[in-house]
Amino acid sequence: MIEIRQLTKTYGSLVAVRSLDLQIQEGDIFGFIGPNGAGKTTTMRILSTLLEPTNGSAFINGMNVRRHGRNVRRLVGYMPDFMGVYDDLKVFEYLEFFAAAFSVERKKRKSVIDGVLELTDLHNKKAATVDSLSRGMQQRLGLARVLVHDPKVLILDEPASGLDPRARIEIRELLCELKTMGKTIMISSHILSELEEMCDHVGIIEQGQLVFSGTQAEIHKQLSLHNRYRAQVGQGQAARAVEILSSLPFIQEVAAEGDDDEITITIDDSQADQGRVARAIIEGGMDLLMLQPTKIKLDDAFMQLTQGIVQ
Amino acid sequence: MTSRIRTIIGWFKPNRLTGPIFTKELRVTSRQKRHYLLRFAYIMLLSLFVLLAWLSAVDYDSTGSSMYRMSDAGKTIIMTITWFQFVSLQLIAIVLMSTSVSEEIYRGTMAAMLTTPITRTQIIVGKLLSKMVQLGILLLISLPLLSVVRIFGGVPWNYIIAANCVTLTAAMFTGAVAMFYSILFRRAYSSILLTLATGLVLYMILPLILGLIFLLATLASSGPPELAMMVMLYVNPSSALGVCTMSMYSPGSMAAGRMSFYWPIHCLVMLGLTAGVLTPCIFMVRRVSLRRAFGKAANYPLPLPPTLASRPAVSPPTPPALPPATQPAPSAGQAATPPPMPPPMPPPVVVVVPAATDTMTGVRRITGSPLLWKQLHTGKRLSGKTVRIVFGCIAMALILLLYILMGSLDFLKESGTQAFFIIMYLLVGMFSTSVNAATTISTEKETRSLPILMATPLSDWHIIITFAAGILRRTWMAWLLLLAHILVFTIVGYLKPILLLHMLLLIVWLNVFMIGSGLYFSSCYKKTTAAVISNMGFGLAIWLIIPILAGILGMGESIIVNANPVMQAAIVTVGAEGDGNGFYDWAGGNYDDTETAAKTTLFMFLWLLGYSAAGFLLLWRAKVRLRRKLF
Repeated sequence: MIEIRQLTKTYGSLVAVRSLDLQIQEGDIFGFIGPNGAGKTTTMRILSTLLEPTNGSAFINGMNVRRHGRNVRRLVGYMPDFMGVYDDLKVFEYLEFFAAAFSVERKKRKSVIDGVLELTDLHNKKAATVDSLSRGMQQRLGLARVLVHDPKVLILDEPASGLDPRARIEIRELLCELKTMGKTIMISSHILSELEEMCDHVGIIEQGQLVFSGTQAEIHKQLSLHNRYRAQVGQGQAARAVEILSSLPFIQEVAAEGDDDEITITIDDSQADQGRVARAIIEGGMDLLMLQPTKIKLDDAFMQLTQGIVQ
Repeated sequence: MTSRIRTIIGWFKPNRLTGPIFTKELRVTSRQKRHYLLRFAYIMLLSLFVLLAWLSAVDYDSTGSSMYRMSDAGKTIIMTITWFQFVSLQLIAIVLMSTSVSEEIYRGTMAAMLTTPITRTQIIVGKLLSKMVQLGILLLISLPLLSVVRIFGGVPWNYIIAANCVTLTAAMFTGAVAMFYSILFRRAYSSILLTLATGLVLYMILPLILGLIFLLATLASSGPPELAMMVMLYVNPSSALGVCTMSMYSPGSMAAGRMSFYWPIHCLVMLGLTAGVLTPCIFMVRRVSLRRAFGKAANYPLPLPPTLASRPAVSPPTPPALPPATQPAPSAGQAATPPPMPPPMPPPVVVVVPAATDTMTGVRRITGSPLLWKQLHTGKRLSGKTVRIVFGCIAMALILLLYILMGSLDFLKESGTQAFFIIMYLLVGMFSTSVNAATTISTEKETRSLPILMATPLSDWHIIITFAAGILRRTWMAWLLLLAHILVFTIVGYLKPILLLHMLLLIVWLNVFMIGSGLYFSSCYKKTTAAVISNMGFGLAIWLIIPILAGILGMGESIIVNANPVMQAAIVTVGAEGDGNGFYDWAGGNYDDTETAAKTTLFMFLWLLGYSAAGFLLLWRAKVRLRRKLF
């Protein structure tokens, strides 16, 4: 649905995005993460036809965003990181304004707007002036706005920033609901735990370059965590477990951790088998209380994959 | 005792009045390029006016050698400099102060400042005085020139001191008025326009009305009320400077006799008036800042959300069960004790509210182009509406009074009076169109709503054209006043009907051209104030500066002078005088061969074509630039 090829954007001497290649499949929720100034917003603005790339190209549904700007805009719902509002419009008028701008038929507009207001829980604010809404409500209104023309692709630049925990959870649930409706969603956020829960794919960008793109399982593979396990044995049995496991040919590395009788085990990639590890421990006469693959949080993966260099 | 003395001395420290604001403002100002550009532009303009004054004071004989009286030249040049300073410093004060408080309020820095021990007085006075320092520097720039020209003779020091003091206090008062509006209005152009309108009323309309009243009193043989005239001199800086200038030219006149004692009093009066304007500023700044900081929600009484009742009650969260792997295994022999019971959760609060209703109170439905609809229907709920209505009513009352006074003196038949009214309305229309056009795109940029608009499939031309329609919608009233004046006086018989056609042609090209230039500058800048100043500067350059330069270069009787819309309005009005012979005095025209109404119509049509072409070119440039500098 979204394809970016060798995309470069420069502002004078500053290279905001450098030869970026990216693909997002239809119906995916793609989490776009990176430090401040990494080039996330610039990439999203290019995809929304608001900026022209210096080099390279970007396609949405097979259409070049530079050449077919107007057609691309019909497909995309873009929510910027900071949403400007028209002070003197009411919520319904504001949404109808954009519905009309996206050529939604007049007779359908009311039902469409009622629907998105219901979806974003703003139906009781229909007659409120836009600038009287709180920050969280304005964010929701922004989300309602991008939905009025039923776009196939949603590009959301930090949609949950400034929201309280409840509103964040609601937005997360809303996005999951939109995914089930078949929308392709590209979302950037600094709250990585949220992305972790809802994104199918993640892209990590730093200094304008994509340092990683793939599923969360692929992050583990990239960080060589896919063949690493944590085990807990009976009290006082950790040293013996290490001794036995280290003598096995398919074990690369084994070490006891702390005082909780926990050990970390790295097994040979080609012979990776959790069952063989369990069998070896039990056959060694020890109690196996727990054995599970090592998990890493997206925050930690982000820290490991990026260097924190700001352009 | 010593500490008490120190405290008393502390009361008189200048720092006490301004706090750290003064230093901060000076520091910030010194780092802004625009102030250096401002000084450069000021010097260039000053030099231009001095050159003009010199050329007007010097006569050349047939051999090409100059023949002039040094003292006359010196007086003319010094008068030019002082009046230039008087006008330009007030305009600069308006621009400098128009954003002084609003910027801080809307960036949130004012609210932060109010949490410090800095007092409101220090904020207001500190800001005003720091800007006065900038103006003082501009005054000082021309001081060496004044000193040099004084060598020519005939100019007393007293005049230079008086003129500088009158100028500075007038600028201070104008700056205080601009600051007052800056607290009330977010946009700089609103403050600029309202300050200019206030200046127009205080310094022009009111004196004119007073002058007419004096004239009526004189005609009624009761003589001009001396006290009223004195009051006008004390409170009107332009009158004060006028009397100072008169006294320099004719030292023995009545004005000269009064000058020595009245100008310091006038300065004190202006300082008092400045303090009078600053007082409400001091009281308002905190309230306005805090209202902004805490949001505007309180200003809009919203109905209690009716869906609260229909929303499912939030059940208390249940503590998650610990996964077995992380649960510590009970040691041998230790009896498994049940975990302590959590405290009972309070019952869910039930809010009884009215049932949900599909309320659409005051919501208007959009028909046709959404952008056109927005341009035509919005702007009615803007803040400051009451202030605008009050000002509008005052202006209308003053204009009506002016008509009555002019009518009672039988002046309305005069072509000069008609030209005065028509030019006044024309300037209001031009000003209104210029400002509105220049704010259209830049306001969308400032509020960050332009990127959202540009992400819709609306075409760039559609956006530009609807913006133009919106400008027409907001400015039609000013043009209607002009046409209404002409219509009324045509019916009365004071003007010929052809003037309506001429003026319509003028209004059409003015709108096309000024909307084009305004939208172009608006697309160039992110800041509304920069766009407004550029657009107005552009108008001044092509219709004032270039004709003046043309005059210097001996091209005064050329097409450049005729290109000026004010000149065109004056020529067609005088030409259409009811009792006149229909002579249209175009620059460069042959006086023997009277320029006819038909010829003038052709001229006006050609101007319409030329300016409209330029206007559409500028509109196209605005369209090209629309997607640039979005962020």
